[in-house]
Amino acid sequence: MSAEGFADLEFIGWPDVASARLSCLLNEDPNLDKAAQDLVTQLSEPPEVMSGCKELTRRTGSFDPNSTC
Amino acid sequence: MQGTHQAHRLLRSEFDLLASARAAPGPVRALKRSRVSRALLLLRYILDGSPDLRPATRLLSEAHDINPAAVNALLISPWLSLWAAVCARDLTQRRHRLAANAVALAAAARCGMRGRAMVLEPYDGRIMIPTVGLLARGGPGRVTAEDLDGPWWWPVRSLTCVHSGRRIAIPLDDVDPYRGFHGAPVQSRLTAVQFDAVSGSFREAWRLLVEQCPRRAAELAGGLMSITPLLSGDDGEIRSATSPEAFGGLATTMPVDGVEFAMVMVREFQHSKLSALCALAPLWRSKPVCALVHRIYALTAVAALWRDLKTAEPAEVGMGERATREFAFVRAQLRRALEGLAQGDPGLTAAGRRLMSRIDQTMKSLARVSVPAAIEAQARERLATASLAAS
Repeated sequence: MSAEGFADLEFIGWPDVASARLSCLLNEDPNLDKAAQDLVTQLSEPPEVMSGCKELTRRTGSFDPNSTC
Repeated sequence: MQGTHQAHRLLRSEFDLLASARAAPGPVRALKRSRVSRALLLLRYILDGSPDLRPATRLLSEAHDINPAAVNALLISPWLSLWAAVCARDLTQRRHRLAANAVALAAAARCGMRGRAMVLEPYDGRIMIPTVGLLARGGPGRVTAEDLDGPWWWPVRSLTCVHSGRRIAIPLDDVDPYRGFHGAPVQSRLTAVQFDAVSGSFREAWRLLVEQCPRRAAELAGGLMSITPLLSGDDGEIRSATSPEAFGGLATTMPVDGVEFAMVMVREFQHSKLSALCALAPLWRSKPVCALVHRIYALTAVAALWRDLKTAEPAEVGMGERATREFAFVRAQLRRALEGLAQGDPGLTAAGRRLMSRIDQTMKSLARVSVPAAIEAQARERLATASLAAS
């Protein structure tokens, strides 16, 4: 992909509420309800472990999908 | 009242720096901001769906009004993030839900709110106050921040050091019940002697990183938020793990020296960064591709670190040969891994292809590093032997 073909990323559906006060966020807001519900739906079940590698020497060259180190 | 909130954005330049697998202290701040939003949304979901958490809701809101930065830092701490994910997934689980009361007390403690009590129920006779410590006494009751002291109080200790004016402080969490996410047995509370030994390796790791890879040191100081010890196996191998739900957290058997500790931190934080990036912008469409990209992304940073140690000035005692050998080996692993994933792989999204093109550029710079032919041959032999053992 060319650099020109790749714009800044805008992550729709994940509102930037990092500067908001919790007390404000707890007010009724269907948009936030939906965003939170979507987030919960996306949570992995059960929590996924993305590595868990043994020492590199033991995993060398093995493309075991369970090994990500 | 309804608010309108912009979507999270990542500049192309930030994405490219993250994608290159190089140290990226600036973009890591952007990733952390996205984790704050995520944490607040999950907390909103949990509090909103749990009428029995009204006292916690009040205390958390007050604390957040007093010091939002302190509470946000609490909410994105790795094992608390993991709790939020576990809890939000099933709000009927009383044990997980009621842990929100302890989160509220932790927030009050962080904000210096004295005398504010929460009714906390122990689990297995213990009450965890996330990121603060463990109250190892049974029985439900009112607990204030002032009660977090005495012989039954096990505070979370921090690995803290300063080298050349660069400071790092990472909590070593050996008490939080949510730290055992990975299935591998966690180490129970470290003795003072064990903690001192870990601190020594950590100080050495920090010295190496600050002197030889200052940008990587800056990235870790800003992004790594918790280390949890794993039990060592009989084989003496290093094991380490991260979870996409626990950005900035890693679990590891205790490294034997500073070099090993530095490698573990760099490697595992790569996984954390990539998981956080992928949560914002899907990079792949299948688990095997996900695993392979994670492997490549982590190995690229590890190879770069060995390269930096190999050329360290002034020369580290005994480091040159070890670093050259390990660099050649990791680079050979990386080449092999890259053969398994072409840039045009249909398992990659457009953003994933962009990521691989950036990694490829970093790999080209690693490929130019010269290594004596004999060491290169040893690396290939070691790779073949390890492949055979793994098959």
